[in-house]
Amino acid sequence: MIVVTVNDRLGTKAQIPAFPSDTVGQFKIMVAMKVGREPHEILLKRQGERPFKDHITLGDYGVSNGVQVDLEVDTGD
Amino acid sequence: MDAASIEEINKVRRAMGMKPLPVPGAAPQEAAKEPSPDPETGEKASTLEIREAQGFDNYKKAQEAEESKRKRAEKLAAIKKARELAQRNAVLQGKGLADDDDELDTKSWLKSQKKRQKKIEAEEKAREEKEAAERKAAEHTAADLAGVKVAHDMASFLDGDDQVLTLKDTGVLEEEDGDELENFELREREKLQERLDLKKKKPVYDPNDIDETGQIGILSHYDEEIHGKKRKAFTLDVGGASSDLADILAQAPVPKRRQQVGDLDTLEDAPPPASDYLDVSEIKVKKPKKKSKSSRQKKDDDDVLFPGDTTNLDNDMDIDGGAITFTKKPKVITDDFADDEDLQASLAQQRRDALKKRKKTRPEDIARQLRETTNDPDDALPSTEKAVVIDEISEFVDTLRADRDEEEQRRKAPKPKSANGPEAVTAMEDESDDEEMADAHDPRNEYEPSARRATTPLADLPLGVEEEKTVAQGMGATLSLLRDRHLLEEGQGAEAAEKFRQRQRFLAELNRRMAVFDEETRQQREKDRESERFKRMSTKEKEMWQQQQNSMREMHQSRVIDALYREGYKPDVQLRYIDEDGRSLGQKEAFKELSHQFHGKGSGKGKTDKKLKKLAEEKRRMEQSILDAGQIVGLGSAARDQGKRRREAGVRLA
Repeated sequence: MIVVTVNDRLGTKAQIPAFPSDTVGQFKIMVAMKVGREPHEILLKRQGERPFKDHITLGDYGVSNGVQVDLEVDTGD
Repeated sequence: MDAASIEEINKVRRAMGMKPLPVPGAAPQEAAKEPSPDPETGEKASTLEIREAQGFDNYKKAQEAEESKRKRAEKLAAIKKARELAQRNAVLQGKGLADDDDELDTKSWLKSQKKRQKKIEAEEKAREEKEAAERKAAEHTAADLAGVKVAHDMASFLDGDDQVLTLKDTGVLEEEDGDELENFELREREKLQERLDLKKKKPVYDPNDIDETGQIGILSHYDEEIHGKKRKAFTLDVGGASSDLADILAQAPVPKRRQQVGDLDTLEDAPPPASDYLDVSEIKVKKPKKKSKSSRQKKDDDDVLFPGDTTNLDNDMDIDGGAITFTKKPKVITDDFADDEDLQASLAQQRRDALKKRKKTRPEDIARQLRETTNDPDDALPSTEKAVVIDEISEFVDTLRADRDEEEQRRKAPKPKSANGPEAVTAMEDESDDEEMADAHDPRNEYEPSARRATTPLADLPLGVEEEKTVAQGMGATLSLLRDRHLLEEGQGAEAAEKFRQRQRFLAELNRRMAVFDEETRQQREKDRESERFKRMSTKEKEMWQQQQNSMREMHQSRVIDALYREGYKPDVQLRYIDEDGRSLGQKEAFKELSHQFHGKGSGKGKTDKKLKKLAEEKRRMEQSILDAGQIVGLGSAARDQGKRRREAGVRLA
């Protein structure tokens, strides 16, 4: 189990437990539960990188225990 | 992460059908369980854990493989090492030098050595015999060469050098009657000779080249082309030498036709050869004998040869029959000679005379001649006193002389006129005559000393140009240096000195007068002070008195000095303008300078540059040596000025 920190850069951080084998889409649901926003409005990305895609696992993105991921609002563009 | 929140999350996960997160407090019941293989494919599902586990397994396997490989290599190395060791030990087996196994005493060793020696000798002998036999078999004697042709002239072998002959190359198909020997070098030489001969362009017919044997064919020079070249060759006989050789050696070299060398030098020293036409006095014509004349007459007659001639000649004809031509021919020839007999005789006489003259030079004469020739150089050598020594001075004098010669030549033309002139002119005006006379004599007066100078001994004359003076030598030297460079004006020296002296005199006079006035004033004041009248006067009166006296004195003094100035003072006014650099300016320059000062602005850049350049040039000129030829100052300037006047460029050195 890993604990991923999601930071929205507006003063809110959330720590979410997950497996590395979880996909980003599943992880987004967990994040949605925590931050109170619809999963499809959530965009996760590492700082300075491209946004994560939903069907790829966290492990594949190299997200391990204690890693911080940025949270943005996904406008669908 | 507390257990409560995780359980919360687990609820959601379960709802989504995801694996629940392990709760820290609860036992890890499912997490340890391995995912069972897929029942359909029999393959394990490819999850991350499985893959990771597989990765570890793979790594382990690889490690093991490497280990086993290393072990195998070690084993191989050990085996190899063992084998090498065994090999080394094997080599070292056997007997060494040091270990003596069978004990031999000295005697037996000596015996064995002797035996060995004998054996070696026997072997040597056998080999020698064998070699000798072989050599004998292979020996090649002169007899083997008998009957072999040598393709060279016999004479070319007479030099005595060792010649190496090789078999001549022949075509395989050519039918030759045996081998031929040749020397490569000789062959080459022959070829070269042939080629050179061809180049020579010999005349086809050479009258000197008559074969002694007389076998000369018509057009014999084509023989080679028709029959091929005749090769000189000989055959070796049993003795190894040719039988021809003896003949060749015995035979004297073919006598070459000797050319008659006539020595024409015998006539060389003779008095000039008599002309073709004899002097009348020398003519000594023999009176031709009547007989010969008659014979000539007869010959003339003979030439005609009438068939019906009735003389004694007819008898000859009768006797000789058809041989008339034969008898006649020599006769005619002799007559031709007789025709030139006089000339021949005179020529012979001349030759004889020449020879006689030649013979007369006896040995003593020759000796004397030789002595004279040897003495001559001695006479020539020691006359150094007469030798001409050419130095700068003499050169210079020479040029002067040349000038003088020219001058004289120029004078010579008008001379008669001037010679006639004086008497005519003297009557009219004496002075002009005198002048002319002086002029006429002038060049001679001028040049005579120089001519005399040329004859004076060289040691008395200073050689070269005078050395330039330097400032370090003193005031006089400096002055002369400046004068040489035209940096210092000279000429009005006396005038300036006179002016200066006058001024000084005037000043001295003035000073003296002033001193006298002062003295007089002082004395008068003393006197006044002593006088009763002055003593009696009140202070105010005294002052008045003194003032009056002073004014009177001053009036007198000024009058006197005025007179003095009028007679002695001659002011020398010089307006001198000096610019900021300390140079004294000319009138124009000064005006320009003043104008610039007045208007508050100078000239432009171009003009300023020009001016600066000019200044620099002037400065340079002042610093230059007097001896720099072709420059602006000193001797160079003089030469240049002269050149300008003469309208020629460059400096004339002579």
